[in-house]
Amino acid sequence: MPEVGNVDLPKKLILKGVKDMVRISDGRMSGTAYGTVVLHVSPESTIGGTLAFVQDGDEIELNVEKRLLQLHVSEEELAKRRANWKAPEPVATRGYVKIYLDHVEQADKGADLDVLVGKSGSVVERDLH
Amino acid sequence: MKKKLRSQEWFGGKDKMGFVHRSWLRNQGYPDDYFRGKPVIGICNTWSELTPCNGHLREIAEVVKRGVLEAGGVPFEFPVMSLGETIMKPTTMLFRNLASMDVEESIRANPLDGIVLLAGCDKTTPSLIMGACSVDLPTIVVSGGPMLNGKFRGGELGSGSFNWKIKEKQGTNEFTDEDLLEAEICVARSAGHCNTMGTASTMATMAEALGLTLPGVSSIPAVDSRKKMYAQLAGRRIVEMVNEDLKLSDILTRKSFENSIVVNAAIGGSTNFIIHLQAIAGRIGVDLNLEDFDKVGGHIPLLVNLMPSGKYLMEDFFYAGGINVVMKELGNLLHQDVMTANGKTFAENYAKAICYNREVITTRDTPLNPAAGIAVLKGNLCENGAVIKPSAASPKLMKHKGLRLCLKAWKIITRVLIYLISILMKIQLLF
Repeated sequence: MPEVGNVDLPKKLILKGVKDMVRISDGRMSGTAYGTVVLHVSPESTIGGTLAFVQDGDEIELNVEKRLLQLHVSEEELAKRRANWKAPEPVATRGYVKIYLDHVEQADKGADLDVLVGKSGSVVERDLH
Repeated sequence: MKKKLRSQEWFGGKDKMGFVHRSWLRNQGYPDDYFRGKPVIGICNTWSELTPCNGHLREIAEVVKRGVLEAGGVPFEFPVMSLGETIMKPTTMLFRNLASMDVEESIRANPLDGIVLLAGCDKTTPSLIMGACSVDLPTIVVSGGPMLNGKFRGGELGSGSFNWKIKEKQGTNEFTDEDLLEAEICVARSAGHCNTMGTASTMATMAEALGLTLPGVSSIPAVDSRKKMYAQLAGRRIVEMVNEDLKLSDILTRKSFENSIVVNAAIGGSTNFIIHLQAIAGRIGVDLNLEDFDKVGGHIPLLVNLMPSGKYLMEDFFYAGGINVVMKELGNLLHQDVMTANGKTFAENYAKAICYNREVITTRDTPLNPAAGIAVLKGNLCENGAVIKPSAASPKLMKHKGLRLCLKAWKIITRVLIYLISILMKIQLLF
């Protein structure tokens, strides 16, 4: 969940004087960044969230006052795209990253590992050795 | 009867294991009375030369030790995984949970009665608090503090916020390679973390708003002598907290989480706050969901004029009276009766704050933005929710329909989409 949600504006637009545009991402944004950026979209695209099925030319409605983020594509069309969707290859098959991929929760839950939620307290039953 | 110290499970034994636990430690030259019932304080340090924001934490640890010893405790500093935001690839977020595991297991497995968490850079604060919550001993946070204001050719530079301008500036050819080289060091003038209200400052403020620090600590610059003074006082205080058995779960209640959400809105804090606060709530066992951020914080006024939402930097914030003023100004928007690490309530801690610069910290009657909290969005594109920080956004774009363009930019875990506003039309309106 990298801090790239506030994707740089294309140079072409910067040269035309554009300072901001709406960006939508299931990533995060640096606390030092700014812009009209929708973040932490959950469920994320890599596990098959709707964001994965968005295509060029689709219409998206953002209405912050109404707290709405809506993709204006018919249910039938979305179902078709979902059926044709293939999950991306996992980026790791071993090590900590593999553990992370297998256990990380979605952004709306805090992106902790599911096995770490909660506490075990401070008591250690077994002595050294 | 006073509760038996946890550390005595290790050091109190008269048998072979008691000998083993004490004897090897005594190769550091400790007298034997160190291990006869004094509170043992672990100083959990994220110092690393590869985490520049935390590069001064060895010095801070020494001062904490002074305080622990004064109060009759015994300090042991230990290292945990340190996450350097500006260095680690692909992102420190990948390692926050790993670092928290290191913290949790290091605390539990060792003979510690109380913990001082030394944090600074973005992920070091939540990872330490998350790990410590899963053990739940008496714990206090000392945040490393921000860098001094960036100063460049008569103007001011905000760490991080300036980065986003580099591409714009280079794109217009008004900024040479030499300029960039000079700006590099001018924006990083001292020890400490980002001098903007970026994620590091947000996390330090979060720790304070949760009640986990001494009051006022989060806004003190890293190199101000008061940072060390408060570190020493935190060392004294943690020994008392052990004696009082004041654990994290006694401080971290639903009310303290709500306070933290309110404060984050008032300071225009980072969106990363949401993810980290939820992870902390999950560890300590407080029920907190995404909608709470909107419900509790959505209507809270923006009171500080700090980059990236505003104009000033953390040094200005401290001189204006710092977080104490914000807490006092928020007044009844906060739960005033919650307990904090110093054993006092919010109301007691911040009642005497004075504002020295209303340009930097404004009043509730004249907010910089009347409703600055995080907006939580719902819709078929985000069934479980998404967030936007209205105070960092362009008002004209917050109600918008448009076509989108997909960007093949990111290969790890997250796919990024760019949603282009309906071409170049209203673009001029943005200025």
